[in-house]
This record gives sequence, structure tokens and C-alpha cells, in this order.
Amino acid sequence: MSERASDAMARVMPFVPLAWLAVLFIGPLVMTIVYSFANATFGGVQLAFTLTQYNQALSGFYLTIFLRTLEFAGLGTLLCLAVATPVAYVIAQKAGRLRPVLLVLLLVPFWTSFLIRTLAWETLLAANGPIRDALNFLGLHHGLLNVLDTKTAVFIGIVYGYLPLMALPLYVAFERIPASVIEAGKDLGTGRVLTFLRVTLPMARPGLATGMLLTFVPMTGEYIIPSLLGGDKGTLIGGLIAGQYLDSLDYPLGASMAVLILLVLGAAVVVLTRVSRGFDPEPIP
Amino acid sequence: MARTRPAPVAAAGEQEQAGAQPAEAGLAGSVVLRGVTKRYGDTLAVKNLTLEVRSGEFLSVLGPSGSGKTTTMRIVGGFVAPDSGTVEISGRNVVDQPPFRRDVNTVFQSYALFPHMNVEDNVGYGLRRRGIGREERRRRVAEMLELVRLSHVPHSRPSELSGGMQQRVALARALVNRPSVLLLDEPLGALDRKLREDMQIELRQLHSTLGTTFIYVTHDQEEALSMSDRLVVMRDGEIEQLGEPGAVYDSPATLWVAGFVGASNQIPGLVRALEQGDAELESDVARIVAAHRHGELRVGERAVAVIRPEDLHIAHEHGEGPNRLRATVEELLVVGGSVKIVAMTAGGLELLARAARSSLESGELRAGAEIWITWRREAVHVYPWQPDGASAPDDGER
Repeated sequence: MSERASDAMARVMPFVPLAWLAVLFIGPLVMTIVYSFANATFGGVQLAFTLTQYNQALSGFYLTIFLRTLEFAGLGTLLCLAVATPVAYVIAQKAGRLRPVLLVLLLVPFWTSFLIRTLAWETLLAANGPIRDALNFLGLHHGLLNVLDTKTAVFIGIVYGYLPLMALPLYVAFERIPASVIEAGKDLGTGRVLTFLRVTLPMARPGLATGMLLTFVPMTGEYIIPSLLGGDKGTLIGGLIAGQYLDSLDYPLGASMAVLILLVLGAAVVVLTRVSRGFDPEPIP
Repeated sequence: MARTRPAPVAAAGEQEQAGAQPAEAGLAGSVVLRGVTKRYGDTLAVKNLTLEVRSGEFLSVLGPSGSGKTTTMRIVGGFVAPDSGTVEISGRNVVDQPPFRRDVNTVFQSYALFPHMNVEDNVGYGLRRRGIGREERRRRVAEMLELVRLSHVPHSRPSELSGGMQQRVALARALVNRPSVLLLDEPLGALDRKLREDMQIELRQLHSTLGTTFIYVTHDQEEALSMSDRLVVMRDGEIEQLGEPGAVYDSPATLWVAGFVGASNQIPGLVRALEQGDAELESDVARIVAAHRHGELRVGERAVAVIRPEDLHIAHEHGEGPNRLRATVEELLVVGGSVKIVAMTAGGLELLARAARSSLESGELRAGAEIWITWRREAVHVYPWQPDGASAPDDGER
């Protein structure tokens, strides 16, 4: 290839990913935003500039679902955090030689389809399913298990599904904390618990924020888990948007909901990426 | 601290006990290890070690990596529990006490500062945990920062400071708690040479200002020799020698210590005769008469003569008697005011001598020159030959 041609190549190359982004990402996004201000005709879109769709999306049943979604994602994220923190901490700081094994175990579920794993919970949580049997056997519960098609089932499902996404960044954060810093905490007067709260956890902050970002964002758009495990109580905004697009053919209303959820997620991303910054922004020579 | 020092705050007079329990009078700052053993899997890191650290002294623990020096320090600090033995700090057995119940604070190798806190909060951490009120805390932190010359950066994050400054934060963070004993685990290892030398002086001055017992772990023999009141040389989990730095350097207890502490020439040979204090050695290159004998020497057995480079003298003419050999100058290295001479005997034994630079001026000392090397019998120490004793230290010198 001549130098000239390779020069030209070098100039063009950066535009390839840009073009990719433009066609597959920016285009649809712009279209969604434009649609969200449009009027719906039956099965069609009439371009306009109106806030009708937003008014509708933020009122009545739709608002309830919108807030319920934020509740699920928020609470789900916190539950994931509560479960993942000890898991990640133990793997990173205490597991020793078992560490690689535990890490693989954490990742194994990823090798199976998300849909199948969620369906499996449907079987497990069934009113006369194995979990009921186990609880009955242990004498902790009697009769049928009334968990499926409730909020509880959805929470179980999302915590299960997103746990690795929370645990892995937390693991990395804990793993990077030098043992000597934790020892310094103990040396200077705090026992295990206080050292964990004052030193370990604050130092894991970047991992904490990353994990929350990685779970909160997809949870907000979660569609499969609520519809499989939550029954009619499980409809979340993701399902609602899909419904507007696929069943009601009301593109503008679906688009306005999508834009609203995008705004919430954007805010979450801004806050959490700020928090996820490390402690060594510029090393001093 | 080389300049005028701000009022001698936190002086020894107002030394207060950091630990919850008061120490017995007179024992504050003493550390006694008795029969301490620690095993990691198949390796004995520390073997039945007994050591008494005097109150207020600057004790260096010197040894190559894997010698057990860091494990020993961690046992004193409370980060490692010994398999057996007792640890007394300020007269109190603390072997089953956690680190923060011991009258000890540690300066860690990599400083181990809290990256999410500023300098002030790092230094105040221990006081805050101990429930010391805000005003008092602020005052003591300010005093400490002044003592380590960091008053100008109380609100900086550790990552914004240079290595030397981080080191001083770590020192302040430990010393602000006024422990009777301060453990320092290779604290200057990460600093460049110039900074390290400055910090050595600062540490010495801090030590004499505060009167705190310093236990200083290092693998840098120069550092250990120049800074400490006493020196412990460790090898394979055991104490090889304990004494004042001068004594350890002038009269190493074993061949291994001779090789590890300071530079030395080692000439192997056979023991010819043993009379009173003297030993006579026959080697390929010379007949050696030594005034100092160590270990069990027997006539007819192998032994090693050890002579420090500064004790070898260069002569140009043949003389009479023992303690002289002929060699060829291989290299001359001018080091400041002195010159290092690397010489090779006909038998292939390499010797290192050190002489004043003025000896170069005659022009007779140059690479390739044939010289005679002589020494006094008082400069020679003889040790029984050990298969592993003569090996050079892996990281004794930087």
C-alpha cells in the first residue's frame, strides 16, 4: 500500500466506529427523542412538538409503574450490595487458595442463558416446588409457598441475576486494598468491624459505585424477571415500554417513557462515575 | 529538622501510655521476646527466638529477605500470632492482645496511608478511635505535623504528596499516639538515596527527641550500622549476632555475619597451628596469621580468614613474613575521597581493598600493576569453613 493510501486509511479509520455509533446508537436515540414529542395516530406517528406523551407517561397508572420501577431498581441494587459485599470481601481478602475457585463459581451462572436461569427460579419458587419442600422439611414453613408472582419473587430474581455484576467490581476493589492499610487501621486502634467501616469500605468506594452502576442501570430496564416471576404485579417500565411499542403500537408514548427513564439513568451515571473515581488521580513524581 | 526545631513538643517527659493498661514503672518501652516460634506451612520463619529490647533504644533488625526479621516485627506489632513463646511490651505479656491493645505503633513498609483521608485525618485516626476530644486531637495532630515538618499540607491527600512526605505522614500517624515502642518496617526502602539519607538523620533526631523505643527492620546494612544503638543480625529465623554496630562490624560472630554486614575479603585455607589467641592458616595465596578466632577451629581443617577492605594495605616492594600476598590490580574505582582497588591473585582470588586517594598520586597504582598486599594480624578474623557461610548476601548492598 502506498504511503498516501495508508495516510488516507489512517484518516478514515477513526470514523468507522463513529459511523457505527451513528447508525446503531445515535440514530435510534434521536428518533426516540423526536417520537417522544410527536402525536400518535393508530399504529402511526405524526411528527409534532407536544408534551402530551410526557403528561400521560407521568400520570396515573404509568406514573405508578415508573415509580415502582425506580423502587425495584433502587432496592434491588441495595439488596445486591448487601449480599455482594461480604461475598466479595471474603473472596478478595480471606479466601486464600480457594479464591480462583470461588471466582469461577460466581461466574458459572453466566454460562447459562439468563432466560433459562430465571425460568429455573419459577420452578424453584413454585407453590409446591423444591424450596417449599425444603422449608417444610426443616419445619420453617407449612403449606404452600406463596412467593411466586409477588414482589418478593422479583427481588429474589433480580438479586440473583445481577449479583455477579455487583460482586465482581467490589471484588476488584477489595482485592486492591493492601493488607498493610487494613493492618494500619487495626494498629491505630480500631477492631475488625470499625476498620472495615472506616478504612476498607471507603477505600472500596470506586468498586462500590461501579457495581451500583452496573446493576442499577440494567435493573431499571429489566423486563424478563418481573414478567416471569412477578406476574401481573411485576410489570415494570421496561415491560410497559415494550408493550407500547409491540402491543399498543403507541410509539410516541413508549418513546417518552424511554426518554424519561434515560434521564434518570443519565443522572445515576453522572453521580456514580464521579464517585467511582479512584484516589490517585495524578501520581506525584 | 536539620534546621531550628519548633518547640520540642511531645517530649519524653509527657510521654503517655497509649495502651489501655498502665505499664510497670521502668519497663515502659522495653520489649522482651521469649522462645518465640512461628511456622508457615513447612517453613520455620522464626525459631525459638529470644530477644530483649531495652527501653528507649534504637534497635535495628538486619537480615536478608526470608530471615524472619519482618515476621518477628509483625509478632511484636500483633499482626502475627506466634505458635509458641511470649511477647512482653513494657513489662506486660501481650501475646494474645490485638494490635491496638499494645503499647506499640507501626510504620509500614509502603506507608499504608489511608488514601481516602487527608493528612490531618490520617494522623488523627488513632486519636479519634481512642475517643480523644476534638480540640485535644487537633492540637496534638498540629504538634505532630510540625514535628515532621508537614504543617503546610494538612489538607492534602496522600496521593498528592511526594514519597518522603508520605513517609513523614506515616511517622506522624504512628507517633501521635505516643506509643512506648515504634516499629519501623523498612520505612525508607522506597525512597531514593539522597532522601533516604536525610530521613535517616531525621529518624535519629526524632528518636532522641521522643525517647521512644525504635525497632527498625531493614535489609540495608549501611542503614543499620549507621543508625542503631544496637543491631540484631538475623538469618533463617534465628539471631546470628546481637551487639552494637561497631562491635558487629569489627568482630562478626560468624562467617555469615562477616559476609553479610559490610564488605569483606574471605580467604579460604587450612588451619596450620593454633596458639593462644592466634591462628595460623595456610592458603594458596599466603600464609595468614590471625589474632581473632571464632567458632571451633581444629588444626588440619578448613577455615576462612576474613579481612575488611580498609585493613588491606598496598605495598610495591616485597617484604618479609606472613600476611602478605602478590596480586595484580584489576580495577580502580574512585569513590569520593577514597579509592576502591579490585585486585586478583595468581590463583584467581579476587580481593577488595580501600585506600586513600592520595596513594594514587604516585602513579604507580594503576590497572595492571603488580602489587603486594599486606595486613596486620589484628585485622584478621578466622572462622571454621561453612559450606554456605561464605556466600555473598543476596541483597545486603544496594
